[in-house]
Amino acid sequence: VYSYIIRRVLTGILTFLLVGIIAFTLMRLTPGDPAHFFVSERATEAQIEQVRERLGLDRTPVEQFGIWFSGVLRGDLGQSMYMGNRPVTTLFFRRALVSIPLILLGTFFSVILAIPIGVISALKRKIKKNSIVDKVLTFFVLFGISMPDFWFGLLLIFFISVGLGWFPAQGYVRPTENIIEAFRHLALPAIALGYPRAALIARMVRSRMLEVLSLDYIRTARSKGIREMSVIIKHALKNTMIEVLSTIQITIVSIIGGIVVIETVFNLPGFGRLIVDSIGRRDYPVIQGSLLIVGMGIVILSLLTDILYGVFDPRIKYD
Amino acid sequence: MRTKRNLILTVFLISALLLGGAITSLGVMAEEGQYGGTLTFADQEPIVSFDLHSEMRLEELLMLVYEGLTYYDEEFVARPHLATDWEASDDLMTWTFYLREGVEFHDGTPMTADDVIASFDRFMEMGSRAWEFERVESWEAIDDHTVRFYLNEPWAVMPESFALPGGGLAVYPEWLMDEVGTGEIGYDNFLAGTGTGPYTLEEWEPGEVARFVRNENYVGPEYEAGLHAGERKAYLDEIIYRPIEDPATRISALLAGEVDVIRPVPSDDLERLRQDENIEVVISEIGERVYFKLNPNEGVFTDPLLRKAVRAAVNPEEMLSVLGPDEAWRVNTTPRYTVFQQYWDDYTDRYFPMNVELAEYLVEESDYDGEEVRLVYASDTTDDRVTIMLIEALQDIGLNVRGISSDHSTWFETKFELDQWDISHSSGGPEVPVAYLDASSRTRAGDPWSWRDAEFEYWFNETQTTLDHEEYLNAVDNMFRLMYEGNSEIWIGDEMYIVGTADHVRGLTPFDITSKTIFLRNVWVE
Repeated sequence: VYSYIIRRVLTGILTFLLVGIIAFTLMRLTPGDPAHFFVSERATEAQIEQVRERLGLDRTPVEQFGIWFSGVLRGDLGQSMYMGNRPVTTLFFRRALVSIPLILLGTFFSVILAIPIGVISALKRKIKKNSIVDKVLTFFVLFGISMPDFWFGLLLIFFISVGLGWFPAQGYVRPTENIIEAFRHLALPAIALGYPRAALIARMVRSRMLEVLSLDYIRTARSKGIREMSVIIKHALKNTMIEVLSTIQITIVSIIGGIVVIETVFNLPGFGRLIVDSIGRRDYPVIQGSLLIVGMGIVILSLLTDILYGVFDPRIKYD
Repeated sequence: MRTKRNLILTVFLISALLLGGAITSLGVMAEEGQYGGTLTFADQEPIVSFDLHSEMRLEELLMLVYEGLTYYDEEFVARPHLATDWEASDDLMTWTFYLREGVEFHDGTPMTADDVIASFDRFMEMGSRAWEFERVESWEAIDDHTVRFYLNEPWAVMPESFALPGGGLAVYPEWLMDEVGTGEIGYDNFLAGTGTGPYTLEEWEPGEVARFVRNENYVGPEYEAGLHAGERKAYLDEIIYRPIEDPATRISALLAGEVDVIRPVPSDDLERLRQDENIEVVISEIGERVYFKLNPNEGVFTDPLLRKAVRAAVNPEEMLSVLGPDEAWRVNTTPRYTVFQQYWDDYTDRYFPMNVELAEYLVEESDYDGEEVRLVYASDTTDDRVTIMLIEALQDIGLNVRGISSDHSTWFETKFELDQWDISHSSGGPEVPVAYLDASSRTRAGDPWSWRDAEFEYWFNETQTTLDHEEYLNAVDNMFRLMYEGNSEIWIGDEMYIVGTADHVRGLTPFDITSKTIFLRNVWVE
């Protein structure tokens, strides 16, 4: 398993380099010159050139990449062109303290919701073809899949925050200030992120459970007189976990993509909004640095998922 | 009996006097405001810098901390601020500004002429609007509270040119200017008490929050506030700024009582907010100017007949009606850079006689041969709606128009590429009477928008060299006339700024949200 991890780490380093090149190149190919944000609409070419020089944009792209990436290798992702020239790492990790709890809560919510729904739906379907419970749960799932995050988020704000006043409509409180308030501010965004993805996982669990419940070893387990709950959880559900695990991994990646919108809707100062705002202003160092960190996060997540496969299925070998 | 009547009369008179006094004092209280409390303000944009030399967005928040020498009042006349007075030599070649005494930076060090000179040094090197001061050849501190500027040609409007806050001359400490040179001012320096304004910056997390606290030692002008100028009473203990980009979230935050003031309110949500008894809506007197630029330097619109055809094809009222209820917009076809209200209606009648037949005739008479007309615009709801109306109007007169939408950055860059567009949709805050500012750029070589005209430059020079207001207005009038005749810009109207406030917010008037700024200096909460 260690050699497998080393191989994956080496692949990760290659991915790191590729993400860096892609992030850098894409930003340079995108129209919109950051220098224009520092001058008035009627600035002369000379003034624009002066700003480009100040920002280091007068160098060739290869030189710019060399300077940036050598900094990255030393752990320096550069400084924002705006925001008082703050270091990208400071900006990103401050925002990550908002986004990571949100990602975890959203994932937790989706898994907690999805697995019981998927299992119950499958069991009911197994017992009776047109079960009402199965139909209701299937509707719940389809509704979630069809609902865009931002729309669901706005509905939550409108009904739960403005209408009932149960949760704040927007904003964020740091856990160090007030942990309960911090949770209250993240609850609705986590639901908005989690529910549509819960629907997807539930659908996966349901179909996989239906498949597993028809297998011979389940019948054998039942004929041995093992308790039904034990059959479902220990024998059936565990065997669906490989697929579910893959789906959860995809869900986390999808949530990372989703927070870009949800952080805007709920006005959360997370790294999703940092990236979007920086793209709008063409703040190259922040965009490149943030994409690099997020890319690496996903590589690590993928590695952890692969290792977890072995926990759920001992037949999986890493050679 | 008489004694009793007298007693009743006396009691009545005393009661009336007391009541009158109470009402008067309440009135005064209401007018003067109450000290204390916190106000939370949400706009759509984050504060990305407090460097007023280069930053032009959210200037009203930056001005709470950093200040300039002069500001405009409601008559659009430059009034004293950090400078208390000024004088020009007879030949308008030397300007002397006298600085307010007793002003301190938030860290307690006094502001002197050396700080102004150091700030002007940096501003001239990297300021967004430094080019407006190209006549200024040298400058020096005469004593601790006097600075002098030496020009290379006469200039009548130097105090006015100092009066615009965004991208203008804000005064920072000399040590800071020496430290940063032409580079960006760093994050820590903004929080180091480097301003002179009525509020100090206590906390700033870009894109997240900015917290301003009342400066108890503030020394500023004492005359009545109007537009940017005048006294700045810091009634509030604290102002918290939180950017909320999404309009629906912004409105929900106000409805839920999480913020006190929001801007902008989309016109579609106007009625919804009005239905809430705890919310008040304030609509500005002057709004965001909606206009289109025709490219007179390259492409089909080098033909003046075709430019005239566009003007004749446009019906401003019809175009603006897509922006929502009538109160959310107003036809205003004066150039963007005037707030001289006397022109508004007059110019609409004189220069917008919509006439489709004339437009079609002009297209036929022009050299236009069915080439594609590229209309570039930055996509957002307002721009999309109005632009679609223009595309339809131009297609109706036989032009082959293609709309090209992009994000703001791309559109902004495209505007500099003269071979990439024929029409550009633009919008922007109304600029104070800076025909001289904006127009001066037209005379600069390399300006992508410029059309040079000897008569225009004559009147432009007149605005720069006369100290007589009537003569100045006459020159401006002539410049506007020539701009219309040039037909390179099609001004449509104003989209009003709409601000939503909680009902406990006081002291915010429609004029205070002119030119896209909200003046929080004299606002208080009950």
